[in-house]
Amino acid sequence: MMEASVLRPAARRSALLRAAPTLGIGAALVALALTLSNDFYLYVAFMAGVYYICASGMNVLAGYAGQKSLGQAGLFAAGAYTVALLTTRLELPPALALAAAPLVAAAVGVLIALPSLRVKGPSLALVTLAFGLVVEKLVTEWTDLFGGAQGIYGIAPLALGDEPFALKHWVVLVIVLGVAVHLALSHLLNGRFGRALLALQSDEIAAECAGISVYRYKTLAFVLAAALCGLGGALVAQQNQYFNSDFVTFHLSVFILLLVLLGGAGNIYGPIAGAAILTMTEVFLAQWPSVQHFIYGAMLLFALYLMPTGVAGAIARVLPRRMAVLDGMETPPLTAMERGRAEPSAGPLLEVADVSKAFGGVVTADKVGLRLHAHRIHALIGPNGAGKSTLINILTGVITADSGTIRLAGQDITRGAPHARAASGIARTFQNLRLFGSMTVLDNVLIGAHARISVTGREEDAVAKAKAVLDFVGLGEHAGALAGSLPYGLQRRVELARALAGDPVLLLLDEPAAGLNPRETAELGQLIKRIGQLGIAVLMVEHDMGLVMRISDEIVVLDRGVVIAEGGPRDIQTNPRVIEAYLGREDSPAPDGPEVDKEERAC
Amino acid sequence: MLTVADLSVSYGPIRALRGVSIRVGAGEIVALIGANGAGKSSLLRGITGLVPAAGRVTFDGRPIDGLSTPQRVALGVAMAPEGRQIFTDQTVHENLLLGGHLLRSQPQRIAANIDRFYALFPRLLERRDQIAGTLSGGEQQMLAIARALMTEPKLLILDEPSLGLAPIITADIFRTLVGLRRDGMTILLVEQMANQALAIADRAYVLEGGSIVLEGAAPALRRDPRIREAYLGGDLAHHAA
Amino acid sequence: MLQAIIGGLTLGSVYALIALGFNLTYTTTRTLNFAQGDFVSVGAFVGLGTVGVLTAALGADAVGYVWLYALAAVAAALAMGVLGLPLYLAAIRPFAGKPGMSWVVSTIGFGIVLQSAALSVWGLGARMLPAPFGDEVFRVGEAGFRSQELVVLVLAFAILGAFDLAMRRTAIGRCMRAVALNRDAAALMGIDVPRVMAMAFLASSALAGLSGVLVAPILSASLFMGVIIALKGFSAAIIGGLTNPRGCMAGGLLIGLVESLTALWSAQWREIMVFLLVILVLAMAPNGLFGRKLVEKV
Repeated sequence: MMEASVLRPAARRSALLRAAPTLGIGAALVALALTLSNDFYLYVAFMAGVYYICASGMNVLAGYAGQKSLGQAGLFAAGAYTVALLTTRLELPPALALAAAPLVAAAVGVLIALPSLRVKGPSLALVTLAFGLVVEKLVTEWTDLFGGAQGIYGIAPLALGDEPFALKHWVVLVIVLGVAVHLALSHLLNGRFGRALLALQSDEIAAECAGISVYRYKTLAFVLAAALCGLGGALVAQQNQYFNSDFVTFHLSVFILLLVLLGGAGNIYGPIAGAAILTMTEVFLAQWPSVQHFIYGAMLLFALYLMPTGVAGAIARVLPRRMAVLDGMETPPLTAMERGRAEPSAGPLLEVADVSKAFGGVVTADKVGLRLHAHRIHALIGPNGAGKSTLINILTGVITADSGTIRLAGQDITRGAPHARAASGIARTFQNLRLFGSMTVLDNVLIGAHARISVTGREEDAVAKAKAVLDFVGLGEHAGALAGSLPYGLQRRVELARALAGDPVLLLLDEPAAGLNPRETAELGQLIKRIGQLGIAVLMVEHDMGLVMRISDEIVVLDRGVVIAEGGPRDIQTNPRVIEAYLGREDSPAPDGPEVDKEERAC
Repeated sequence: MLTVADLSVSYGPIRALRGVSIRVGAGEIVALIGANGAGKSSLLRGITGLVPAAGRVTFDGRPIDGLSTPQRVALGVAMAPEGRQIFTDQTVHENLLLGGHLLRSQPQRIAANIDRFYALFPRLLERRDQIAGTLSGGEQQMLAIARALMTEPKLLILDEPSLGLAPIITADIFRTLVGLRRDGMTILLVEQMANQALAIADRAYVLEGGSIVLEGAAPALRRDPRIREAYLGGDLAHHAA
Repeated sequence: MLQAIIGGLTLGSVYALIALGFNLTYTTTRTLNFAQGDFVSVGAFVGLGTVGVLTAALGADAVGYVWLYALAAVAAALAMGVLGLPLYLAAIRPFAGKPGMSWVVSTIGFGIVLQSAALSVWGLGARMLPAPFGDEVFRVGEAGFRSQELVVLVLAFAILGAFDLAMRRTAIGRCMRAVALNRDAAALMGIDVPRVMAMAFLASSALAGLSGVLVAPILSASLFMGVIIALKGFSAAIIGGLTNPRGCMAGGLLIGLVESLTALWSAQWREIMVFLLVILVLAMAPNGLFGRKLVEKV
């Protein structure tokens, strides 16, 4: 307790320290803006700021969460018409209207998130696109309310006293707002929230199994993007004191997406780069509108081919990586893992009863029963197509069983979502490695700990804990490396570390030794044993029988969805049913076998 | 007929096959056995060009490792892939016609081939106009083999034909393979069901962890205890190499 | 009412043509051309240009206009089909098979480039492509419709039928379906998979170009007309089920009907209704009405 209270002010000071450069640059920009007197430049600066605000929200959605929306114009419109209608119809104060705009847009964002959550790929593109078009047509055709192409005049701008804002004031305002947005998003995205979004973009199933509610986070991303886009629209409407339906086009939606993709999706500086570059392009090419159009097209066509990570990404690759935070950090050993939940009691930790699952007539689990105990290592084996992976997927909630019950420490979890099961202590690895390859090893592990990191907690504590897990699996020195860049054997261990980071009570390993060489397999065996000693119940599906027989306390054999044998390694190795399931019948027919006609051929 | 020298296959950072060399002589049935994940399918995918592979593949005295899959098929390498992978949304007959794609300028030849394989698999003739996805597992496997034979191969590769089939059906399929060999076909058979595969093969290779750990004449391997250990482990596991 | 149904089916059959194009490229390459709208517009203008050039070269009445129109349609289909190849090479092939749907952005870019180029040739204005059988209005009881509506309806249905038949009965159709279902297995049959993919883009682009010439006499042709048509074709493909060609066609007709029946009540609301319907359908059935669920193996 003492320590914590000593640490807090220091942490706050360091947060302030981190913000200092941004604040400084913001102040410099404000100073620069105040010296400008040319209206054209001021207007360009204002629009660049608005673009940045829209793009920064879109970056959360498209860059971090990976949801490439093609309907942001609709949300831009939501914000703009909110200030327009509130200040003209209801004659509310302009500042209040401006504050209301992002909220209204956010509410509209929820509306668009709902259908978007269920669809992927081209369908997602269509849903967002259709939303943008509905808004576009609505504001065009519903002239009574929105004024259509005639527009709404007399939108009340912000004012200083009785003086309405001059262009210069607007520029200062967008700079202040831009800096605030940047700081807030940096804080948000460089932590638990940003990691969760990147994780779900990279692999929804792995993210869900790491304890991240994919639905909730996607919705949050939609809402954030909507609010910021709405703010951008409101600023434009108020500054112009006029807004009409011509602003709201499919092209605006594409432009907002381009800001992010060109600047660098998933990079905190991407929207800044995007806004700067596209504003410049606009300024230089303003005399030749047709060329401008052409160049936008060419940018869209080739940008992602030439710079898959955008301008900011390309710059970041040139700059040296900094990853010094971890050095000298003190990490407690993992043996002292605190686990208040599911104390090893007399009964089994996990109890599976009568679980069945069929896919279109093919039964992959037929009334399977299973009991797993804390401190013990269980193996699940069986020939190809026996239903082993299906069972792991049923236990983690990736697949829902047709019937039967699953109880974890006495609690029925048969219907729980994967992220809820992860939070209650079930962790897993995957048959085909599902790492977040473009993130660091440390981030992978932090994502595994997602459910254990409190929203208000300090990042440093989470990092220390993650470091302890990495040390436990022997990956401490690789914390800063990109997970996808490691050799395969180490990647397997990163996945294991990610699973361990959530303090699981039950660890499910789906073919952990697949693709490992004998030495790596032997090390893995040792590691799994040490995991069992931590008190965790382990269930592994594995084909390497050497490993299975060496480290398992108990083996369950599955064949065509049915448990055909259970017992210790010795029993299983000599069980005739098991041998038959694996190798086929000893007396298998050899019709006209080679012995018969061998002499007939010379080969 | 087929020589594979030092073939390696990687999926991203995963090395599924580590420098494997095998040889299949004309008219032989060669079995490739090993547990799940041993690298059997990767070897076959490397031979047929479905995945990029490092190493040399020579067929009929000609290097084929630089060729695309269709080019290799045209030279006479056919494969009935793992899990059958028939075109489930087309009829049995259409599947066979697709197998004749490379001979499309010679419709009579295709028709004659189809008749031949309907005679070999009368069940397929009965189901001629049925959508292939509705066939039973055994019938699907027959179709996969017939479809591969439609390319008029010199070498027929089969990837786990017994997968998911009842033993009696597997025996049926294997009987067909023996018949094909009698008519001069060369066969490379990948199987998990070691006993069955060794019963019909001349020679065999045992694959474990992406490398060959054992090879020899099939009857001798059939009695070798190390085979069982390769699958179920044992005191000697991992010393086989 | 009858008039609205005929009108709806007419537009719907055009959407169905475009949806079919989306189906072809999606099943074979898992990508779509988001510039399809520009292919429709430019196709219409290629048709206009063909008519103009031929009239100038042959004299006004050398051949009947019906033949000129037919030639224009063929020219548009050919030109756009050929343009489908650079689209495939520049905007699709670098991204096909990779995650992230970068091809959405690159094809939109290709479309903007194409549109800008076309604008510099033909300009902003809208033009009329005369209908091959004149503009008389036929009357059947209460309902009246134009000859071009029948032309479109008959031609589009004929093409849809021919495609459906070709996919089921011809060797090339079998190859397309084989590649769509399983690329590896298709390659093992000796099928040249990349060529089939390029052909899918050729066919899809040709369909778009043809659609442009078909609708140009009904709507006046401008370089902006294609976007909304293609978007509705896209909607048709998705709500019908992108993987199912007949579903795509049905989706097209459905959208055409919804659009024209809504227009009976209020012309302004027809697009709003169409796209609200799209959102609603996808919220209920994420794979479309007749689509297949793609299951990911874990």
